[in-house]
This record gives sequence, structure tokens and C-alpha cells, in this order.
Amino acid sequence: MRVPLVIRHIGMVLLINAVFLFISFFISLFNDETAVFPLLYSALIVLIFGSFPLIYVPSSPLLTTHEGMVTIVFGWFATCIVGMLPYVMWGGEFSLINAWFESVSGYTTTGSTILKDIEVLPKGILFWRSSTHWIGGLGVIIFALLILPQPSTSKMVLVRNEISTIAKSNFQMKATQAVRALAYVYIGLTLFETVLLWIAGMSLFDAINHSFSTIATGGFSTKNLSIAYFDNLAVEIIIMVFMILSGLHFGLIYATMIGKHDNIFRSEIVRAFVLVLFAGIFLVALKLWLSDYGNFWESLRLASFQVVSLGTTTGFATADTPNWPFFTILIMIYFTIQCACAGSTSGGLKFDRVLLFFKSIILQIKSLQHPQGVFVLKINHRTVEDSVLQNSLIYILLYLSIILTSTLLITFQDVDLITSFSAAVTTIGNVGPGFGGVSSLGNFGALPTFSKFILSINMLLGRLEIFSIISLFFIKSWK
Amino acid sequence: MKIRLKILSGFLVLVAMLAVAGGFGIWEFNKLSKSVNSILDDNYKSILACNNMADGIETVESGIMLFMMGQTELGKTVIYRGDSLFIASLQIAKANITEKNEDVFIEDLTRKYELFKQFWSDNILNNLQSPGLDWYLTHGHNSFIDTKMSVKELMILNQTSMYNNANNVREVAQRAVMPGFVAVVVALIFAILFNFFINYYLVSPILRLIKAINNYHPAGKEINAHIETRDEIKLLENAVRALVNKMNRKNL
Repeated sequence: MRVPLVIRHIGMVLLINAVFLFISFFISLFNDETAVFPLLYSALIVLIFGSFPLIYVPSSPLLTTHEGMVTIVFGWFATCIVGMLPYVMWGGEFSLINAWFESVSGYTTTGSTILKDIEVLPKGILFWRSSTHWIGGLGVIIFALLILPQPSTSKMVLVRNEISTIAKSNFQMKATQAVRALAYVYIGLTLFETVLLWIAGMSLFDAINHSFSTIATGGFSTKNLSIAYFDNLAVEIIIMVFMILSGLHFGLIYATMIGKHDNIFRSEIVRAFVLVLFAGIFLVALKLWLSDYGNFWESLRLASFQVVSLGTTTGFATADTPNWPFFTILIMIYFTIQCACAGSTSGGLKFDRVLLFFKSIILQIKSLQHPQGVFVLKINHRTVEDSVLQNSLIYILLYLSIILTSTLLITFQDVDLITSFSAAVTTIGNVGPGFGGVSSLGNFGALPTFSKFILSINMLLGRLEIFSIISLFFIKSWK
Repeated sequence: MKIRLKILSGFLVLVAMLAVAGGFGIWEFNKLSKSVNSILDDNYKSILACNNMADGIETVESGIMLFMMGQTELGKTVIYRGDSLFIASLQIAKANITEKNEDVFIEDLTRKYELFKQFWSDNILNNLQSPGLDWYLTHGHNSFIDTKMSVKELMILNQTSMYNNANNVREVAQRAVMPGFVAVVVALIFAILFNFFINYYLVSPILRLIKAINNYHPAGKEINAHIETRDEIKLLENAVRALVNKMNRKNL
């Protein structure tokens, strides 16, 4: 493995962060805030670390798969480390572990926070928090590939490793085209949502920050009460629509935009995802209504926002859900585990795998009923290869075992079961809020240091789809 | 890029990082010193003045009590003593307006004290006989309470500001220390990275070139040290190769 080449690519990833750090710095400077120097110094450090390898390491036309994977994993780790610099230097509630947690939560688009008071943060830091979502939503590597020049073969290796394993089939285009398609959809949706939120009554600053969070399916807000602060139906509807869009495969959205046949309306996965989402909304709204949490329309308003927010792994809130009936909490935990579609900005298990899982159960039943029959699993009228199915089932098992292991480790530090379990589920799913002590309007600040570290690793595992990180521990098998 | 520039860039980066961290630290320490001064000069001085005003007004009331109980001369002396302490402290507070709305608080306090003073000037200093304690409690005590409350409000304003400034000092102190801490860690990582690049792109190619020269055989392949960079080492490799080729041609 050519270590300098990996360092060169990681450096390029860091340069993207430097750009956003400089923007945050100018916002702070314009508002004459206390975060001016922390942001400036962080930007300079990141700029130096990003550009220095470019001086020494010559460009190479081809990256090996191993180099690509190492670049992705270490690129994410390096990004999360530099992302915590402004927090650590600014101070306030940001201790070292809190800054790390907030940074990882930002880049992985989890949106869990350790902050008790968000509104006390300077605008520069608030913008930086949202920027980490926006950079991480598209994927730090994809972002770097989008802006910085790179040989197409290296680009292909990096894109292949960055995009979810189960989402690749929908990107039936070259790496450069795939990156461009992702960018068009990503930037287009962000701009569109910003304008709509601005028109709906948000300040431009809040509109930009919330658009960054929505499109990245992150969940960081500029307000302590999240979206509940605005108490504006138009804002809630706009955010809900864009949360759903951001939870769909970007390749399909692009195909829809350019009028291709294989678009979101013809996708079986999208149809099933939206159907399950609406079923969840209906059940939660019905239970809330029957439990006297308001009239039907109020219940529907609260239920639809919360279910869509968790179901798309965004994590915004319009209500504090721990006081809701257990039935609704269980449904929302299901959505926290299920997550959104592959190829979107969301992390976690991915709905595609859940659909494959349920379809494979039906297939298994058919096989038992007709032992001589030959049955194939199809999605979107295409046969799913056994290897894909096997990979998905192993992934689901691994995913669940990580949830159990991390729950076990957190409860070891005397954290209650609901908090531990929901924190583990919500972080690996990159969702954001959980239940118990880490509810929608609560925070993760009170958890023990070691728990925060475990949860931050969960976030990275969820974002990088577990195998990328684990494979680094099996160096021998690469040789 | 030339080797000289490559090495220089590494050192420049190290110097720049430490310089910025140093500058940042100095700037934050300067802010820290200003915050401490603000606590001492602005808030503490005003809080002390408020304390003295409270003492002063209580002394005035003690004098009034003495007067009401028949000790007229002693009462007047105590009232004068309390009054001068209050006026002197009020002047200090007026000269040290540093908080938002503090001037409004002081104006209100001055007005209330003037009312109180007018009461005891009219009813005590110009009379030789006491109208009695009950009369004072009915007609004058409320004015005393009002003035004392105003002093308390002014003190609370300054105490709150002092608390905020002290909190600010804590944050600024962290902000002053963190760049240094970050600079040390970053410089350490950068030094390792710099050393790695120097070793990988400067030392190793030279060693490879030496090895290639040592292993060279006229009947074998031409010298190739696999230099990836386009700097002086690549030029050296080309020059060595050209020299060997020239010598080979000469020997033939």
C-alpha cells in the first residue's frame, strides 16, 4: 500500500473542510463573535494539513481497492478529528470528548448533540455544525472528488468504496457522472429548500442551516427546541417533504429529473418505503389521538413530523416523544432501526436491506411449500443475486449484534436500559434522538465519557457500513 | 518543486502554526487581563460603593431612631455621618457607570434618597423635639425601605455582571490555553508527517540511487532508482544514468 498516496487523498478531503471553516470564520467575523480566532486557527491548521501532502506526493492515476478503502476510513476519521478543532478551541460545553462526539455526530449526519444550550453558540460555530452535516451528507470523499481534480480511475475506486454497497446498482453510470448526479441533486435540493424555508418565515441564516441539516438527513438545529421553536406549519411541511426526498436514492431522483424511465415513481423500493412511512404515521397519529394527545389534526401533525424525521434518519423534532404512549415509541424505534433508502444521505441499516430481508422470508416460505419449485428474489423486476442477499442478511445480523454489544457496554456504566438501547440504535442508524435520557429535545451530554466514545464509534460504523472499518483490522487477508 | 522549497515549506508551516498559536494566545490573554480588570475596576468598585451606601443609609436611620428616642444631638451627629458616607459612595458609583442601564438605576436611587433626605431634613434637623418613633414608622420608614431596595437592585446588577465576567474569564482562559495545546499536538503530528515525507521522498530515493550505483554492472540494465518525484534527485538519477551511458560508450 502506498501510504503517501493515501495521505495525499486524505489531505484533499481536509481541504474541503478548510473551505467551510473559512466561511464559518467570515460569518463569525461579520458578527463580531468570540469564535473568530478558533475558526480561523482551525481553518489554517486544516488548510496546512490538507495542502502539505500535495507539495510532496505526486498524483497517481490509479488507487488500489485497498488504498481506496483505507483512504475512505482514515479520511472520515481525519475529518472528524479536524472537525472538533473549532469546538475544542471555542470552549463552552465542549470538552475533548464532547467536541469529538459533536464532530462525529455532525459528519455522520447523526445529529445527536451533547449541548444543553445550542442558542448560546456563536453563529460561526452554528454554521460550522451544520456544515459538518452538509459535508458528511454527501460523503466527505465524494465532496472532495466533486471539487478537486482527480484521475478518473482513482475517482472510480473512491466512489465505489464510499457509496453504500447496496446502492451501487442504481448508479448505472461512470464514477464522474455518478458524482455529478449526486452533486446536482444534493445542491439543487439544498438551494430549493433554503429558498422555501426563507419564504415560509425563517431567517436566511436559519433557513441555510436547516436546509443543510435536512438534505444531509442530519438533525442539528440552531434552536434548543429544534423545529418546535418555529411553530410554523409551512416550515414543518417543507422540511418533511425534503426529509422524504433526502431519504430516497439520489440516483433515482436524478433519473426522475432528467426524465429517465427508471425513476422514483417506478421504484419498488421507494413505493414500499413511502407506504411503510405512511402506515407508521397513521398508526402513531391514531394512537396519539386515542390517548388524548390533542385532536386528530394535531396528532397527525405531530406524528407525521416525528415519524418522517426518524424514518429518514434526520432527527429534527416538533415534540418531546418520551412522554408518548409506548406503542408509538415502539413504532418509532422500528423506524430508527429501519432507516431510509440506500443511495440517499442517510446512514444505518437502509430500507433496501429490510425489504430484501422480508422478501427473503416470503421466498423461504414458498420454497417450503413447494420444495421442487425454483424461486428467485426480485426487486424492481430485476433478480437479486444470492451474494447480495447473503451480504444483506449478514449485514443485518452484524448491525443488530453491534447494537446489542454497545447497549451492553453502555448499561455497564449504569445508564438505564431505554436510554442505552435507544442511544445505541439511534447512533448506529445515524438518526439522532433516542428515547429516555436522550430524547428528541434532550441531549447526550449527561452520558458517561466512555459511552459517548462508544456511541461515536457506532455513528462511524453506521455511516461507513461497518465492513469498511472492520476490514482494516484484517490486514493479513489483504496481502 | 525544488527540494530546497519543499524543506523550507515544512519549516515555514511549523513556524507559522506556532506563531499563530502564540499570537492567538497573547490576544486571548490580553482579553483575559481586560476581563479581570473589568471585574476589579467596574464591578467590585461598584459593589463596594453599594455596600457603603447601604451602611450609610442604615447609619442615617440609626441616627433617626436615636433622635426619635430623645437623644437629639447624638442622633443628628449619626445622621450627618451616615449621610456623608452615602453621598461619597453614591459619587463613586456615579463615576463608575459600566453596565447597561446602570445610569437609570443610579438616577432612581438618587431621586429616592433625595426624597428620604428631604423627609429627615424637614422633620428632624429643623426640629428640636422628637415627634416620636411611631410617627417615623408611619411617615418616613417607607422612604428608607425604598432607598435601600434601590441600593440592593444596583448591587444585584453589579453582582450579576461580576458573575458573568467571572464566567467569561473562565471561558477566555480556556480559549487562551487551547490554541497552545492544539499547536503542540498539531506540531507534533506535523513533525512526524514532515519527517515521513523527507524520509520517503528525499532520503529513501538517495539510498535507492546509491544502491543502484553500487549494484550497477556494465552488462546489466541501465541505472534505475525508481524516483517518482520531479526534483533534483530525479535530475541526479538522470545525470548518473547519462554519465554511466557516456562512460560505457567510451569503453566500447
